[in-house]
Amino acid sequence: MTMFGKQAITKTLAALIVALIVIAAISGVFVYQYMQPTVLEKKTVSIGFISTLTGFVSSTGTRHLRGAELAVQDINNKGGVLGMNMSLIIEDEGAGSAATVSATSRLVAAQPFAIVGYYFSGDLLAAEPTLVNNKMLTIATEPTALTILDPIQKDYETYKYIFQMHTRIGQGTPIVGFVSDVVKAKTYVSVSENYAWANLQNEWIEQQLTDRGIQKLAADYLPGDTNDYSTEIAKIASLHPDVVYVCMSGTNEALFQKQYVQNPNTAAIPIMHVPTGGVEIPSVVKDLVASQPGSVDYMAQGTYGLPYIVKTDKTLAYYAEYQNAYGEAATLFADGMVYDDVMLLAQAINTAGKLDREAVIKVLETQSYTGVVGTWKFGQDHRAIWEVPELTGAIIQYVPNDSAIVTNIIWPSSIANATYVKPP
Amino acid sequence: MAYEIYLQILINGLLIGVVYGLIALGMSLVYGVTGVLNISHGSFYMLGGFAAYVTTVTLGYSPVYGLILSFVSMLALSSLIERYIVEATLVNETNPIFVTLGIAIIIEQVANVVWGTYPKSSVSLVHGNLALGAIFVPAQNLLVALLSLFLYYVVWTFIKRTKDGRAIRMVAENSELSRTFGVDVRRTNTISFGLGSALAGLSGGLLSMIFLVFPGDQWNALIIAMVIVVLGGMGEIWGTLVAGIAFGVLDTYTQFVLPRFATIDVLALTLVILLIRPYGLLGKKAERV
Repeated sequence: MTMFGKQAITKTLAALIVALIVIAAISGVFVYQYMQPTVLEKKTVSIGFISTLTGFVSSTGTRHLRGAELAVQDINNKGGVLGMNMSLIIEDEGAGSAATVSATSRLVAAQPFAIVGYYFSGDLLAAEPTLVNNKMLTIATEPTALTILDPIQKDYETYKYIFQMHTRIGQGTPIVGFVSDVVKAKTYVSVSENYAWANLQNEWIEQQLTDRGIQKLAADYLPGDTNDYSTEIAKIASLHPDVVYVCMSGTNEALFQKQYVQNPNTAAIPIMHVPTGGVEIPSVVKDLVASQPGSVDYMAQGTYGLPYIVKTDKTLAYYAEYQNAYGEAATLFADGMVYDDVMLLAQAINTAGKLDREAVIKVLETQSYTGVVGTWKFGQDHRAIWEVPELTGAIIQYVPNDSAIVTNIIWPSSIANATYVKPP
Repeated sequence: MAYEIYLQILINGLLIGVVYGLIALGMSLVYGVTGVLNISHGSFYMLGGFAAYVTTVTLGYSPVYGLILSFVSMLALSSLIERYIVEATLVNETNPIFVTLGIAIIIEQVANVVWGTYPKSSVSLVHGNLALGAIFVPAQNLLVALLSLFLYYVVWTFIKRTKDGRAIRMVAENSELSRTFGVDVRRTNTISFGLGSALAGLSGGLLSMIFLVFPGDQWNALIIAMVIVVLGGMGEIWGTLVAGIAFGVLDTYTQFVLPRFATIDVLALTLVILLIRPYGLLGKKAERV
């Protein structure tokens, strides 16, 4: 191994020390700024938050965090919980389950009253022993795997601390609408990332499409870290389906779309994405179109991002608040769900009247909560029963128009303001 | 299914494999000369992609300038990092691994703050496709692959024909001995680290035209680079090209036949190859080239 002279190392060390001093000074300014709020003067109820703040689904994780932050802000503006302010302890779910377990351990060590979040089922499953061993009340936002709460039937006392918000219905409804009503397809291909949520969604979607006599030509699942979809896209082209639907999230969804339109044989096949916060995000669509004209032609997108899809008495106010805070439209699927997670937790604490997990669990098991996404209540198995008023989704199509990108609602007909622009 | 699909997949695998090889070439060069397993290699790839994005989408300049910025900015940044941080920790084999891991995490967090978490897409050099009957070749994929091959030639020429290149080869063979011949080992290490990282940056710039760029992207690139370097042999320029192509073709075929096992197959194969040939497919039984 190469070694260097003493003089050089001394200079380098000096440079490092200076750099560390500068970093420490800058960090000090940040810490000073962020530690100033008056919450420090008052006892707080801290809630742990964990989601994918980095990595390929960080766009969704970021929305989760925003939803949690808005909820905490609204709770505190209305007097907090049990007269105390609520605060968040934030952790990144990280890349892989090992990172999630570490992050969960850090959260548990910080002793929050409860933890809200999680994105991947596998990550939560890995962290579940840490959570239940520490009797940590956890409201899991995105994980859909049934195995998370299967053990509760046999061992209620151990697993009663876990609640699962995500339900299997919802995301698939617009897909079925697009394939059967909009395109009137006879054949289809589905492409999904190989995660529990996509498997569960597809199970339901495929049954719906089979019932309607629509033939499946292929249903492929690809690893979540796939970069190059060219082969899958070539396969789709060779199958000549009437329509393609995609169950991917975040960056994967946008990456697939970018490569899909690069293949001239698939570019003209109608494609639709489930609403997951990938190509549903206007800035992502804008970037795609700017870098490659035609990127979203003939692409349909399922959405919960419109205020008239779900209407409770809280929906519109939340949309306005989110838009005002972050300059973009809220989605009920990502940020709205976490907002409701935190709000229903606060309601349960207030109803219980004390910071006692056992008491709060009893409230969660018996009480329903109407939030911005709909009305939530938990079944005996601690899985959420989501009562969505009116619709369960809609379909939009982005139509580039000079310098702007117009968003048309194309399904369902009761709220549509345009028809689907089909391939020639 | 028609035979064209298999030919199409082969072409896809070849084209993407050449670029994967280019990502790995820089890592191989850095390890081969300095002995540093650079975990921040993928971060320079990611930043190179962002450089192309900023140049082409944010500022609206030609992709050519984006690629130049990808290379030059990563050359400058990585040279500074090598000179003032990595080198100071070169007291054993493991220190640089943890130091460059730390650098990778810092770069990711900074990228998160600067560009946000949403994926970005940079403007392509060319658009459209070349049609060969039922088979088509995306013009930008072809161009990116050809540019990558050209860069292989440039790097090979640099190492074989220039004074700095000769120094790199000498240091790679034996750094202590080369010092006695008057080679400035410290400067050579910086050049190697800078050049290797700049190649990662340029790969990121090129692939941002085909893929997307986002904070966190670097880990995928790092894994691809490490697998290819291991397969091709540490420090083997042409070995990385062959291994890159093998990776690309195998991965695309698996994606077609057994989609759920794409990528996993390559990792499994790497383990098998290492068990049979611990120095890689084309690597020599020496510490470094």
